[in-house]
Amino acid sequence: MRIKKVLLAEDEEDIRHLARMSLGHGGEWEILLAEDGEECLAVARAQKPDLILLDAVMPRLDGFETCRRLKADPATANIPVIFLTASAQEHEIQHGLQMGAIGYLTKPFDPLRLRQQVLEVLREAGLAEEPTP
Amino acid sequence: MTPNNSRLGEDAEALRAILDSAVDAAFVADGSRQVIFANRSLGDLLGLTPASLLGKSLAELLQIMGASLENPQATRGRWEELWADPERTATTVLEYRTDKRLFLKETSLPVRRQDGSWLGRMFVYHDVTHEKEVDRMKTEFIAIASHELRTPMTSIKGSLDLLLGGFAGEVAGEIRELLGIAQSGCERLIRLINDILDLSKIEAGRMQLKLQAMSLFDSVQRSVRTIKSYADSFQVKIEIDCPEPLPLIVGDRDRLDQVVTNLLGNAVKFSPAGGTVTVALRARPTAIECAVIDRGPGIPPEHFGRIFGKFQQVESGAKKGGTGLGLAIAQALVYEHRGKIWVESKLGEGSRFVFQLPLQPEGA
Repeated sequence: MRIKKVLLAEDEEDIRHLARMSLGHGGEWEILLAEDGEECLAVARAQKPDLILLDAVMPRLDGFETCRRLKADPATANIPVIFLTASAQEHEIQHGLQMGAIGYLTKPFDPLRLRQQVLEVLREAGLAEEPTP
Repeated sequence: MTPNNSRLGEDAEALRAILDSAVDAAFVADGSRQVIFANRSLGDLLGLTPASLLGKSLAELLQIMGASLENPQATRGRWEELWADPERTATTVLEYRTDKRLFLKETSLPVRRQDGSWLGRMFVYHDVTHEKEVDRMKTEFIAIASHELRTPMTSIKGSLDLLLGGFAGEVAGEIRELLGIAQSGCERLIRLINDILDLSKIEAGRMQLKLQAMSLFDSVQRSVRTIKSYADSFQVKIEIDCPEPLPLIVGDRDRLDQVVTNLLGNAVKFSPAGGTVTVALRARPTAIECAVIDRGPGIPPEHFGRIFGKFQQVESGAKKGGTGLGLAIAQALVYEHRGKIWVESKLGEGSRFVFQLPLQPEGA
């Protein structure tokens, strides 16, 4: 698969900007933003991103429930989800994966490596991005 | 015997009044496992009069309590074990639900007559609900604080990383130097937050070890690789001394790597430039032993007792960086593996931090 649009759901404004700069650097990916789980669901249905990066602790709807609903909705079930969160305890990671995420990245993340880490998760899940020509 | 004790012994009524005014609930059962004494607090707990409990068998008493006990089967089993071992004193915490949720510390101890003969067993129930709640709040506070600290740290460190990585144009000279200082301060804070979270998990009993058969030698090799660039920055060499192949142990790979890395980090930090740190691995009759040996200044004997405490760097090390939690975490993780850890040191000659992990842990 080829990634063009990435949806990033993150309630902290600073982290949102940082991750957007980091993921969008080079201009290959269009980065869509959501501030909480509800908005994430709406943007995912409307924009059909190729990948969703999800924070766990968010107002209105947390990341775990958001992930569960994304996977339960046929319109969004096939979009790969990767958690990007400070909730780094073992049971939280297991919970995230049980909700259908393909990977779990923890904060603090290295913005210079974030894009690379996302690509590694996709590769491990057998969803490797086609090499850029 | 004092005159007062003797008077109490004669005055059963006075004794009952005293035991009835105790806050803790208590009962005594005799050799035939029948209740021969119950105080008012126990009656209040069970919603019955103490007198109505007299003569009841333990099985009947357990039936009365059982409806509120979270795990009556466990209590039945424990009582059976206690009856098989008359001398034993045992303490456990049980969960008890009436209109509210209580945690009761049950202490059971043998009761003897004045001539030393065995009369029965006393069971005392002390309400520890408040202590449990404080403990839970402490754990929750640490978890939330660590999470809330990580979020701003992510933005600070991330922004610095992007700036130093050239995302916003070239950064040179003193600006780069200053940003580098901010970046290393950030990294230190993040290590501290991670260490606090680790320690709080262990102390709350929430560290789940992923146990598997593993080689401690491999663990040492991985840790040496992890710490290499850090050791290079101190111009310290690390050598592994392992003259013979070692049997496998049962342990959590990542967590034992963490133990060795913490001990190595400590040894490197206190070694003189150009010095060598040795990791010596030996098979002992019932354990594998790992000793991390440095040729640093050594530790004064008066510090041995608290060297594994939190934030306990001895004076000479106060300026050496680190989180001050490395040894506390190493000790806690070794204990989680049912192992032993200690330090041997001579001033001016260096220190040996030694830990042993059992070859066949109980229940394995």
